[in-house]
Amino acid sequence: MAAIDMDMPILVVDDYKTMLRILNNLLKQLGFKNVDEAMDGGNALQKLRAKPYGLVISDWNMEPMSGLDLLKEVRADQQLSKLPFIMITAESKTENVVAAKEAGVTNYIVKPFNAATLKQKMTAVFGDF
Amino acid sequence: MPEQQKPAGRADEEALLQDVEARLRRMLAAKGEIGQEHLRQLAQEIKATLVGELTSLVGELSSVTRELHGQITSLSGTIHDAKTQIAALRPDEIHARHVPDATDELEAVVGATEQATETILEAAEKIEEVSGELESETGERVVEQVTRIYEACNFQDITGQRIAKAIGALQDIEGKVDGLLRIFGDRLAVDCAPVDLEEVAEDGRAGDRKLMNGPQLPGAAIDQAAVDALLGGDD
Repeated sequence: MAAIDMDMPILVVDDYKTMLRILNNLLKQLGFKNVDEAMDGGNALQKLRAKPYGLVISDWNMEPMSGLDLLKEVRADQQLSKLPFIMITAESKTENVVAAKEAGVTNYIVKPFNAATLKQKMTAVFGDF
Repeated sequence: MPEQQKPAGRADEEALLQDVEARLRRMLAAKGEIGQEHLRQLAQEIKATLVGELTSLVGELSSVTRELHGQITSLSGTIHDAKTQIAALRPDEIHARHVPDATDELEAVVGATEQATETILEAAEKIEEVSGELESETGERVVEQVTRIYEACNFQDITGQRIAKAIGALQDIEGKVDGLLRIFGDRLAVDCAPVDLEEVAEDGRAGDRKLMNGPQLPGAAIDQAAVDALLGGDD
């Protein structure tokens, strides 16, 4: 695993403004200051294709493009296919996790979550920081 | 067509004709020639046979008809009872008031919790900024508590999603009620008097109980300044 770049741009995707704000604050506490936001999958995909990101953290339950649809689009795009993608979602059935795994998710966090879990899952993706 | 495949009615008719033919042949064989008296006798026998068969057939049909009529009358009664019970549920009120009211209240909950959460987060962010001016250990303890506030604010996302599911369920119910109204339409109006939604009190409340309506939806509530103006006080 390559050492994590604390300045890497991170894209946070959620249709609830408060959740975007919470994630932004928690990422700042962890040392990541370069955080962008998107409120739906379509907007997120536009941003991902416009500049390079080091990580996507996305909700699942969004319309019209869900987080799972976004993940599939990212994995299908040659430029984006290797991008680390963490799903943070209230969808907590086994079949959800299986579907996300089959779609190529890097890690999966169930809401409500805490700061320690976020750090743990990011560490699992990037190594200690 | 082989004999055994013919329908029952056709078989009966054929049996009757064969019977008549057999009687004619016996009479011809017995008498050698057909006289006027024989023809009259033959005609009477044929008539008696046919009348007997037709009477029997009419009797059977009457019995079937009576039974069918009875079943239809019973079914009509059942349908009427069902319509009366459905009308008593007041689907027009469910469609026009209860479901929209419930949906509006739930959406107001989501809006209010979102606003409150934004306020809490803003305050927590300011506290976190200030904590940087504190001495190291104290600052860390403050940040630890601020982090707990951020984590607790997850609730707004979860409750918002749960409420969205509840709204979806209400909208499904409304759709089914719409379906009932479309099927029964004007006939429901015959079974129950139209409701004046402004006059019907919730749960049949009377007196001061009618004044207890809980929080109003945004836009429907008066603000403190309006209350003060109504009271006419100088606070």
